[in-house]
Amino acid sequence: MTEKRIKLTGVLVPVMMFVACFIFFFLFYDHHLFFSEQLQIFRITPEYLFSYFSKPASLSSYIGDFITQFYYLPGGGAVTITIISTILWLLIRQLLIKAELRNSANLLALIPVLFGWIALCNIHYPVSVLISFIISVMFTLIYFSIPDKIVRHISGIISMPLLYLFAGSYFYLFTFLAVIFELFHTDDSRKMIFISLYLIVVLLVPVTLRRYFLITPAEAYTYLSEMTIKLHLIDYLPIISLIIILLSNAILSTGRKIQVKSYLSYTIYLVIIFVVVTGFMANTDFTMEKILRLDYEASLNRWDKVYDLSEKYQMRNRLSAYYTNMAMSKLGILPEKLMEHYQPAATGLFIPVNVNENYLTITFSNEVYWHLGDVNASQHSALLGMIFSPRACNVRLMKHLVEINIVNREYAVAEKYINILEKTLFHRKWAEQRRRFLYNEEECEKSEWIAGKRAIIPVRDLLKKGDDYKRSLEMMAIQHPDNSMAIDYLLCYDLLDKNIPSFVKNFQTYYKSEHKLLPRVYEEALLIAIASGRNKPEDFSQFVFSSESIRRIADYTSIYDARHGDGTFLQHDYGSTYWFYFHFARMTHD
Amino acid sequence: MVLSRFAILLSALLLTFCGHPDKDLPGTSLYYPDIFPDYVDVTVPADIAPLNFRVSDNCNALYIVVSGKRYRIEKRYSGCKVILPAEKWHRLLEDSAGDTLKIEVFVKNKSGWLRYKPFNIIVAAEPIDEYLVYRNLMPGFQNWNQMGIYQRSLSDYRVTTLLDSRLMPGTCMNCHSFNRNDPESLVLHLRENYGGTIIFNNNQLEKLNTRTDKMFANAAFPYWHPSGKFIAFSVNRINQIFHAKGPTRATAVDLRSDIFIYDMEKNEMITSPLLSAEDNFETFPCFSPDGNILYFCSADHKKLPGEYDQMKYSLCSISFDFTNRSFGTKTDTLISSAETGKSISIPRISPNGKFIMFTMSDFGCFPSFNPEADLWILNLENNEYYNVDTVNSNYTESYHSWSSNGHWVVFSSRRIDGLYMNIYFAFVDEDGLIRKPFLLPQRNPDFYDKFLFSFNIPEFVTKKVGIDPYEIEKVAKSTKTIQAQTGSSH
Repeated sequence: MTEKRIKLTGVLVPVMMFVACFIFFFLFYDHHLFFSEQLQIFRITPEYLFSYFSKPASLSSYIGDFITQFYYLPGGGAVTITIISTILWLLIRQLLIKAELRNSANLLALIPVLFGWIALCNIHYPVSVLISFIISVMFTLIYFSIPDKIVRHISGIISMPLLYLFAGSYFYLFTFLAVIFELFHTDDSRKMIFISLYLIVVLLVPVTLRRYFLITPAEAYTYLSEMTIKLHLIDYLPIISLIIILLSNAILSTGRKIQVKSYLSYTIYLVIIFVVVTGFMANTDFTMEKILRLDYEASLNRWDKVYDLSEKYQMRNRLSAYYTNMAMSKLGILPEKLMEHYQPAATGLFIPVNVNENYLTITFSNEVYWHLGDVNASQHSALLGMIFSPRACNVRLMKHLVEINIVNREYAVAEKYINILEKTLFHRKWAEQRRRFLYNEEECEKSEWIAGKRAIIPVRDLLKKGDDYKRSLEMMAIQHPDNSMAIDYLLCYDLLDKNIPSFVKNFQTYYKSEHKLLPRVYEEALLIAIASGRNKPEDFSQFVFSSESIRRIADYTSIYDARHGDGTFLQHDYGSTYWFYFHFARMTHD
Repeated sequence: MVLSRFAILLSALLLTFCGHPDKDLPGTSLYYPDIFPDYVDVTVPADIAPLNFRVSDNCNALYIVVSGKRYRIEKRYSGCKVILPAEKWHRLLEDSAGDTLKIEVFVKNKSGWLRYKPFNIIVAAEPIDEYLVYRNLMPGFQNWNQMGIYQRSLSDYRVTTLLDSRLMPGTCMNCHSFNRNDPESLVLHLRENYGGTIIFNNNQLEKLNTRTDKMFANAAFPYWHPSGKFIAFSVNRINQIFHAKGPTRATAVDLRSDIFIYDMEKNEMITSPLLSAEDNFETFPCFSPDGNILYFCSADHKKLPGEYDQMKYSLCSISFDFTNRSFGTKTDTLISSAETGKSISIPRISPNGKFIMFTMSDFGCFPSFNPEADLWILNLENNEYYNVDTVNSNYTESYHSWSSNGHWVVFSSRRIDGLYMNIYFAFVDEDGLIRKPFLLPQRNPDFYDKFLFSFNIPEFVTKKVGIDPYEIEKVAKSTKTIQAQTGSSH
């Protein structure tokens, strides 16, 4: 490859990479970003700013969280990540140029940035960590540019605790690069003393400062952000890769410039491709992206979209089942289409809130209660979701709590949350619009969503345990016989639990329809009850069983008997019937 | 004529450009200003932090005059918040101890200045304890995550941490208690991760496993014996159940409870059959100031959780001879639930032994979940008990404790919004009459609008608790735990 071509490639490849970054986060991973924005409530107040100083990485966290607000906008996340990555790349490039890697700086600088993108694919690695990376590189650049060694050493020692306060444990980058610089690029006879001093300071800073931050020693040494619950190697690969590049260069070059040869460029390309492919494979979670997309569409009440996506994705996990079932219920097709989708027993209807769950699932758990009208249960889940969010706050849940408390006429609590949301950039209008409902019954009555919700909330109290879904559904069905979602959920709960006697009892009590024909799944279940002898056809005389279903159950039964219950002979023709589920569905863990 | 017109013009000019209201100008309201927190006609100690507040009107500017015995504060503010200068405030209050402050509030809006009816703040001569220890956690009623135990200086706004879940993730910390407000004695429980009971006494910090073979669970609600040699604990098995409707978001049901007393010198848990009967629930122990009587709450056994609303606790007592660890042979019922039709919980006796403050609710023994829960006082001299109307609201009032001199009580209340618990103080006079309470002051009057944690278990301490959170962390995480033994009472 000619020098000219190498130079051209050195410009084109980064440009292509940044375009790819934008496209990736805009088109393929945007719902992770939408969700990330929900996990904070960024307020434009002095007190909120000061609250950041109670933890390391205060500056990068504040800037990062400020930027994360823009994830709320379609494309906002993709744009901001691309800009931050570009800034990071430019700074790293500058660092590499100072380390006499000018000719390959453009490409080599991509490697740490790529690791940063890969790390960003995990919600627990927020953009604030890239800001920490930027701050550390800036400090390093300043350090490298100080010619006077005494001044440089003093600034190095002062920088470390400062950098820890600003950028958390990414301050190791500065220390290592300073050590490399002193070791290989200076001829100070006392450099080993200062290198030793740097290493001592870097070890002491976290454990000394942790007293002010009330964090464990392990957290002190590895602090990246409040979002980072568990550390992974990938979280440090951005800075490790940069250290390796500079260390390798220092060791290999020691006094002589490396000439860029084609083989070096090809090697760098290979590394980049390897990093991109394996890193993204390891750290992206497209299953979660799909679930988050379902969740996003559900939050906008776009149930037809949720259903279309469910059909397209054909996922087999309880979270997708949760949203699919809600969508089917909202579209009035749950008892028709229940068996056409993956059903992990009744766990596809509700998400439990207990110690075995995590904040993601707890965040989702309140939605179904809200739509069912069990507003207190929705509140309970929402409060717990806030508690378990990484920073004990969640803007989406807070908005839910505003609505819940308005419906419940607990206006003082709703006002508290509205006061908080009005201090945010993108949610203040939403909050201001809700303010008119406070203490104003007339406005509440005029509002469709409030009046509609109040019409289906429980009228009589009932006590239940936190995970007593059936009791909740029975209560809703008894108190609001026109709450078709509650009735369908109750009946489907019984079916998914394979509790035919309970299903029949509840069906006879609550199911009301003007039509004589039954929804498919209910029909199939009732035919089981009849076929087993528990019920007679006259018990359901107001309905008409289709001749097709009667024929099919007869066929099913004869094949079942002939094949001694071997489901493989039934899967193809009857796999999406309730009969097949009843006989063969077994619970496994996701 | 010209001169008087000139005077008026000058006043108007001064009003406009200097922003000082002319107190003689019309625009006087017959009403008190609508302020938050409500400090109108409250009684405060002379060493309390500045009572900053905001006026709820739409106002462009404020002018206030706080007049004491000899000193006064006059200050103008743009906006609606009053932030009082700390030094001047403390001087004013110290000088006015036993006297009354007069607060005049002038509000400027589009129509000009308006003078509200002045209100008073009574400054008690009796001091309040220096610090308050409390827990912060988010309302969840079932699970918890972030929480901490903090101590707040009551003469300013400084808060220091005693323990925080950041140091011990996955650990619930609760039931902190001091012996007669003495910061040199502390007991608190840790649950889940690093579970155990932390005791700080005689300068020693130790971790105890309280559960003996005779106990069905770990120790829960504590109360120190005044000698410092015993701690009474209840042992409880608690379940939460949730309401489908209404403001009572949850109900905690005690499925079983007994009382044990921990002998600190012998490391033994002792009890009496009268405190650990199968058919009864005994909980919330409280020793008399002389240590000879143990007060507690007791209820008959019911089918739970179905009959949860029929669980009504009475206030009882039993004698306790701490010299030989013996209990009385019978219990006395001071206030029977059959008589009240209600349930009593959290009895707390005044330092002079004259009064017991308790919470009364419709049922159960976790009044923080009951909106109707109110504070009551039992006068032990004449056995009369009464609702403390001055401190109660339409929302929960519960978890109360006394200051070391018995002239102040602190309690938690959900009165601001019905969900978040906050701390209130009230003055108690010699006759046990309690005056209008005031909210724990904050530097920013908007603090409570944004704070997403509840305050609970407020306890006065006479001085700052000198334990470092890292010391507690070290002890909590150490494998060395003292196992309490079963002892026998005589």
